[in-house]
Amino acid sequence: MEIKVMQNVLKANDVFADQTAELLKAKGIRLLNLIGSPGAGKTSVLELMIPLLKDKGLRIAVIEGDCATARDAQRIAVLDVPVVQINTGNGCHLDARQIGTVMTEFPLEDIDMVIIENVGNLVCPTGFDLGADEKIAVISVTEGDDKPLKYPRIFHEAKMVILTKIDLIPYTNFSLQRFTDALRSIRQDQELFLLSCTTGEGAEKLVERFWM
Amino acid sequence: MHEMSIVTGIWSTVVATLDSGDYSKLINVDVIIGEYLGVVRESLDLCWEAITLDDPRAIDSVLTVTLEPTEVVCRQCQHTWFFKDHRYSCPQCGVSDSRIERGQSLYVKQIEVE
Repeated sequence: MEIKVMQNVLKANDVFADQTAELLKAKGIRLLNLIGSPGAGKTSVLELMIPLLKDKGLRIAVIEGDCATARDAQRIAVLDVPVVQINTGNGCHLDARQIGTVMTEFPLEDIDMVIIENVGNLVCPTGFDLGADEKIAVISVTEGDDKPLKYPRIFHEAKMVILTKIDLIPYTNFSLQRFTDALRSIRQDQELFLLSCTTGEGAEKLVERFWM
Repeated sequence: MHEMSIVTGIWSTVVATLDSGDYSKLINVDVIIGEYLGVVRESLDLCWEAITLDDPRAIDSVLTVTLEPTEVVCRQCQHTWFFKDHRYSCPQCGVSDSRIERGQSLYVKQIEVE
């Protein structure tokens, strides 16, 4: 016997994503979803940016996603902002249900922006809507200038791209021109931010963008 | 491996249907999966096998997948094309300003039971 179902399987995720988006919108809170490979420097970007954004008066909370350990949350907690670590086990991405649950743990009345650091992965996190205002791609010089061509989806969805470890460019064969051309071939209105978390170069421009 | 998340979603839908009637055996599940979701077919089968392992009703059940092609629209000239080779720039006007119109669906279409 055949039973017609026609049920949207992703609906469960999307319902949670919409709930989070509505909740935060009502409170005037921006939600950012940072996506990048393991080792791209996502946590280092947060470590650099959070104190600068706090100086501007922005009240930030962070959700850390990793397969295992609370190491990243510990690094962020030192900066004296609310932080929750989600461990996904072998899961390759965060989903909207997890984010919705965590939101209830934050003092939302005292927060202007929540930043999600997704599980280190350039592929899977892109496909799961978390209710964020925008996805931000974080990629490092040492990953190579052809990564946008090889993993294009995130660069199509993220208008903002942060290129980290730019202080290492002289020691690699990374071509900023090739990288920019690759990005523009996917999305012409890409906003590229160059950053070195070691020297602090590029931090000021990024603060302005986050502050928007 | 986001196939496990996808299969978990499919399985939840199937179990809800199985539980709603007096069905002893699940034979087949027809699903429509958007090509753009980037699902690896072999991984999907492996995850399906794993997730149905503990439910005697689902032993030897099959997941039949119909791929929904990815359709892209150029925001500049409105030209539409089927997404191949991860090309996001418009084949007509050359501009890289596109949106994914179709190819991200994930539906359980029907299930066959006894």
